[in-house]
Amino acid sequence: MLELTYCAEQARLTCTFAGRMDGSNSPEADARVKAELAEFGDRASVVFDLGGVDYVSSAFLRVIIGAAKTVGEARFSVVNCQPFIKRLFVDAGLDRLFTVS
Amino acid sequence: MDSAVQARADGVMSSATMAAAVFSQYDQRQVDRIVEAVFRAAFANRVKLARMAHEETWLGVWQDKVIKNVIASQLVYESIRDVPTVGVISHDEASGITELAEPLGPIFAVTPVTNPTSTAIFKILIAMKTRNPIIISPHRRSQKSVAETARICCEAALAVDAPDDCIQVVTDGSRELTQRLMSHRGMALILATGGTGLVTAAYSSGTPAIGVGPGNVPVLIDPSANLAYAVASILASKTFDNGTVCASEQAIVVEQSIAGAVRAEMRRQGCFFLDADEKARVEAVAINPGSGDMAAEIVGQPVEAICRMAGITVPHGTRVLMAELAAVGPEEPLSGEVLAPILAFFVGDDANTAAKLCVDLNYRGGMGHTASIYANDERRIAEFSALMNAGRVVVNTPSTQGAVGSLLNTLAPSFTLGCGSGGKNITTENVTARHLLNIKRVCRKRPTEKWHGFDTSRYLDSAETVDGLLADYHSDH
Repeated sequence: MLELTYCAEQARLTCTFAGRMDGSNSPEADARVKAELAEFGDRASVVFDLGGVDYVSSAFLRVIIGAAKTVGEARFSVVNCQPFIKRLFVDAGLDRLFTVS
Repeated sequence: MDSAVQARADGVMSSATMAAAVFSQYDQRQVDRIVEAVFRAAFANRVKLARMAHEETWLGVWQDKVIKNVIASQLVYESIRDVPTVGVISHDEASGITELAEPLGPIFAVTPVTNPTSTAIFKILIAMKTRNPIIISPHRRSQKSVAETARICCEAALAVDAPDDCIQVVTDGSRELTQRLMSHRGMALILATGGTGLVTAAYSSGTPAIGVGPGNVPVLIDPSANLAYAVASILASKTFDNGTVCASEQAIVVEQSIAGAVRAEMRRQGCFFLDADEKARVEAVAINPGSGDMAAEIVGQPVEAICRMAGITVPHGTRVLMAELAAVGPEEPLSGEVLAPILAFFVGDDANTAAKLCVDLNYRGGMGHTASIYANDERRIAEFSALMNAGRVVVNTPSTQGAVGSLLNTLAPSFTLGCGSGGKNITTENVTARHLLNIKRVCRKRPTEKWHGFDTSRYLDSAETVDGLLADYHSDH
């Protein structure tokens, strides 16, 4: 569901998600991401890799928005979205706040 | 510009936009599960919500409001349950066209004081069926009951994994907040059911709108009608919820030849014909002298309350007050819409005069809405139908129940009745789920053989004649 990788060289925290990100697993994801951000968030850029995600719930959107706010939208990005997930971010207007690719 | 109001509008829209984005992923099965859950919750609470609406607004009859809630929940649900609204909804191999249904986006829904909880249930159901988040703005006198309706529906929807904030209600809505939301760039559609001012504001917002304003329903009782049945039917409609439905009858029009018989039948069934003094007194309380519109105080009130306000006495058991009028227009204020158990009564010298009175009534504030006829002569029904500027012409049917649909005919059950161009609407239909979809058409190549078999360079020759071109174009090549 979630794999966290911190690359000190690039000062980048990569959070790789997979599967259906719904109300049942988003709270756990939120807690783990927050813990990592507490440790690295002040100095790292944060990348959410959604390559394996096939559903984004309201709860998971909150995780994403919360992380973007914590680290600052300029240092936050969402990558590897499937096309329909990319459209979801565009529909929600989130691509105007941070990079979505 | 009030920045706090703008921030509030932005917050509501941000939540709705997120909900729309999440909703876009749902398949038909998930959507139908949400719609069923909302229906069941609303239906289970039909009596509680009806009583709340009545106690809050003091309009109408709580038992009739229960029926309205049943129409809005059970009958609306059953009418949309099996309608495909997600993804591919049709495919025609011959034409090569595949239709895909997509949501519109956030919908701003205004609910009226006259039908608060039923309109809210109806709009929530059709919004959920089409994956559109909905923001409800209730009339200020029915905020509590509509907020409770929205809460019940939202709770049911969220229990089966609907997106957060897919149903929001704005009860702190100032006029400015309403305008900000209506004109917000993220708003996809306004479903405005209410007074003329509100509907005009919706149309002026720049956001696509389906607005339903007032009606002024004329009822022609033709000599070919069964008079006793016609009167019973009219009274069943006009007294329903004390006449709060905009499709309820406003004026009875008859020819001189049957006027006496109709008056007698109306008296027999509980109508009271006002004399000149009584008419003036009722008019004084029923009509706002400044605007000429109906006074808010008498909307949905029972006969006894109206008589008390007017200072007149009528026989016990009177069901409807009848005002016999000489003309249609400002000189006879009761010839306009009055959502209370008061009916205008007109007598025309003959069939043509009666028909012209119906035209005048129809065009006095009720264009595009509903008209009603009682007749057993198909020719008269056809003539009347052709004459009226109405989205619905109900025949031998109580107009309230007939126009709302599904109870007595096969019209879609709806609390938003399209009024066509006469009412500044895009549709004359009873608005339902399919009006809340973007239908995308995927078009496969199906070449037009005639076009491809024709030498199109001939179009460039101005010497070619119209008949010559058409004959050759349509001939077998």
